[in-house]
Amino acid sequence: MDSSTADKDGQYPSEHPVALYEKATRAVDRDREALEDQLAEEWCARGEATLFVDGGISRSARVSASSCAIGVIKSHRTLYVEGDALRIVMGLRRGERSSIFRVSPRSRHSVLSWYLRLREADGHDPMWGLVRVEAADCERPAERADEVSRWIIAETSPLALPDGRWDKMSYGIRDCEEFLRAIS
Amino acid sequence: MSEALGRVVATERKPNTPHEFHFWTAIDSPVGIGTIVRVDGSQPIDGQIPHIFGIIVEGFSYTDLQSPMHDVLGHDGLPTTAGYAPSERAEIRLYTAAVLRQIPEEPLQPVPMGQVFLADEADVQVALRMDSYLKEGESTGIPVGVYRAGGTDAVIYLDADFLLGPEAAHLNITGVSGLATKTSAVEWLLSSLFTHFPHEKGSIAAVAFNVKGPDLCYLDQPGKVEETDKALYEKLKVEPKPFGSVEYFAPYTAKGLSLNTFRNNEELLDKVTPLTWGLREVLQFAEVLLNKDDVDAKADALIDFIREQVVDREFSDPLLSKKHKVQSFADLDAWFRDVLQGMEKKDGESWRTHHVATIRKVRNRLSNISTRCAGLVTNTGEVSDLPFGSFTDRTVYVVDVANLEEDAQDLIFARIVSKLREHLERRDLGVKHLVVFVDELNKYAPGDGQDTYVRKMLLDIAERGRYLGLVLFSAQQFRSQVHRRVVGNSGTALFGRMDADELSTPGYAVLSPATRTKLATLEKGQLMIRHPHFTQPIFVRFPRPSVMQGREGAERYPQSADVSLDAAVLRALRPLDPSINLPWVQEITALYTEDEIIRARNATLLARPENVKAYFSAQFRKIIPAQAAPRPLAASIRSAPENDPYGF
Repeated sequence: MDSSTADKDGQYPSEHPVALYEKATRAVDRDREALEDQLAEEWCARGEATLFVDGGISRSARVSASSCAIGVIKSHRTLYVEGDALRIVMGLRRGERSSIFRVSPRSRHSVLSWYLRLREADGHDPMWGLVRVEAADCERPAERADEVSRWIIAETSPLALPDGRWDKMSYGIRDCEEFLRAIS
Repeated sequence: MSEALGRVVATERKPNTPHEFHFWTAIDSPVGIGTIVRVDGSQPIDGQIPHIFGIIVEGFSYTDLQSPMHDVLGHDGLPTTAGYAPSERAEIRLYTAAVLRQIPEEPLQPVPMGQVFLADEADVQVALRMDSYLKEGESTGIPVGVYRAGGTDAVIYLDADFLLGPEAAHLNITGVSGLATKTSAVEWLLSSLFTHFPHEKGSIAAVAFNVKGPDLCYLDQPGKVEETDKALYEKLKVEPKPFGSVEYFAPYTAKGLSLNTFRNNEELLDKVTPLTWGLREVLQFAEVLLNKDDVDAKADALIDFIREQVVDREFSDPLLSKKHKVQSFADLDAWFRDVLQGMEKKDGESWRTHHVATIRKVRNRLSNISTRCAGLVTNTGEVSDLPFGSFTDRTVYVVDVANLEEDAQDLIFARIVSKLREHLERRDLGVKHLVVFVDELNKYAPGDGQDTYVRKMLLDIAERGRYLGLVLFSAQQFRSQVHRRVVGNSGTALFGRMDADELSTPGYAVLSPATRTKLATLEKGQLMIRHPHFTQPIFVRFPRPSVMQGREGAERYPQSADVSLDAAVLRALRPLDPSINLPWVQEITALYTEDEIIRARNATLLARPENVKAYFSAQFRKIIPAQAAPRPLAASIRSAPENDPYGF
């Protein structure tokens, strides 16, 4: 981080190491996201096979509109359902999905989304094994949602243990993370 | 240069040492237990990039699975669903290799990090130190097989100086029965030895004791050679053909009519020489047949007396009814009878310090020998033996003792080996180096049990034979049960497929578990080799011997059934003179006893005369046909006068 250059308001960044560290982390995250988007766009341009994206796909216009990308979100900081719909989602059994809804964040691009229960939540919290899926808009969204849900459920084996998020994480994502950890 | 197939790794838990290192490879890498690899170090030592050669002795496969339970849960406890998982777990291959050689050899350091390559043929020569004895023009390499791994075909050579002496010597083969590994390996190795043994090192021959089955009975007959084996023969530079010079020796059956061998089919008899010994030959080795319980010091003294004072001499004594010249078991029995009768007449208890009981005991034991070794020991004293003194280069002499009683086998082994040793000591055997092949070492040189004459002889060969040029090639099923000094003195050891029980004995503890597993599953034609130049055992493949296998030979040349005396004589003599036929034999032998006919046949076989018919006929005593005596005319009896006053 360059703390010697003032921003557009003429303010110099804090020289506190923790603040600098946080700022650097955010910058790295931005760069990583940019690289991820670039890679996903290149992949979608080739149109060969479906890309399993760890997280949402709405950040990139090209990716969010491509039938080659599926986003799987494990964290549920934002809930897209409420009331009866929330109760239905929390009560999903293994292999069941919610109805499809459209997610149109202000700074992002519109995608179709639905909740999918990957593992039985009995004895766990209601979010156990619950993921939210994002896919590009299409002509037959229900059929597409069923098809994509089957793919994601198939990826629940092998288990992503010992990762703590193994209930929602597919093994391929864990393998990728392990690879990145090994080379970083 | 080939592509690297792995990288050396070392962790705190699994560090590398000067004798062992670890490396990983791709899943599909063509390496396995027994593969030889080369590590190229990256940092020079004393200005030289180190090269380390190793052989894989252990392999590990890892995934990131921490507990088997995770896999069970991942597949809902149903193994059948595992195949449907679209993603496969990450898996790695990690290998442990034992160091074969480091270059430079000093300073000896732990194996450095570096790339791992599959060893090529040149690497294999360096790794196994074969480069020291494969020098152009002075090679002493004897091809033993081909090392194969990942496309590398490298000929593995044994050093003749360490196989036949003088540096080290002897070879021992272990393997389970029934896979034809042991006999096949020896047959192949003898072929290779006869082809590649340097002529400047002198002549070489082999004596093989066929102790069971017909395996060694067809060494001069061609066998089937598969295309794959032809390629191996070509690579190993040995011609796939049977042995050019083989001589067989076998005693007669107890009846004395035919030879007691699997090779007594008429078509093969021309190369079989009868093996028969007389009293003199047997008495030299009486202790082989008479154990310590039989013969005490007193009996031993009497046997010595007979050997030195009686046999082959004119022997007379006031006690005896006549002079004796003992040359056969029959003569000896007559001598004993005379001695005992003389003692009975004198009512004496001892004669020449020998007690009558001792004399009776020794008579009983010695007379028994001709019964126990019937067919080998002749009552008449005729000797037909191996050609001691005129052994020829690159010849195999097979002594077939497979169908004999144990005593007879022991006697044959002891006497032949002793004679070989004597001749080699005097340098007049006919060849400079002699390989003696003995199978079933478990029986002849067991690690436990009482000390036998045969075991003592084997120990003697193992420990001192190499100085004489007498080399032991031995084989057995259970190496752990053979006397340690016999196997310990074998510089070279071959291992075929092994029994798991045998592998669990302490002698195999030096091998890694993976190597032991490989040994337990070796295919026919594969061997593990230990040789003084190799710091680790090496796996090789050898070609099937190009001689007829025992089973095939027994089918093609079935053993002849018992034949009549005339037919036995015909079969024995016809190889010497093909014009001899059955009517001729019947005509010549019609008037004589069985003993006389057998004696005549044996004498003819021994002499191998030019005129066989004349020689054979001359062996019989002349019998003048009986002529009817003229009947004398009886004188007529005069009739009595009519007026005979004394008549009634």
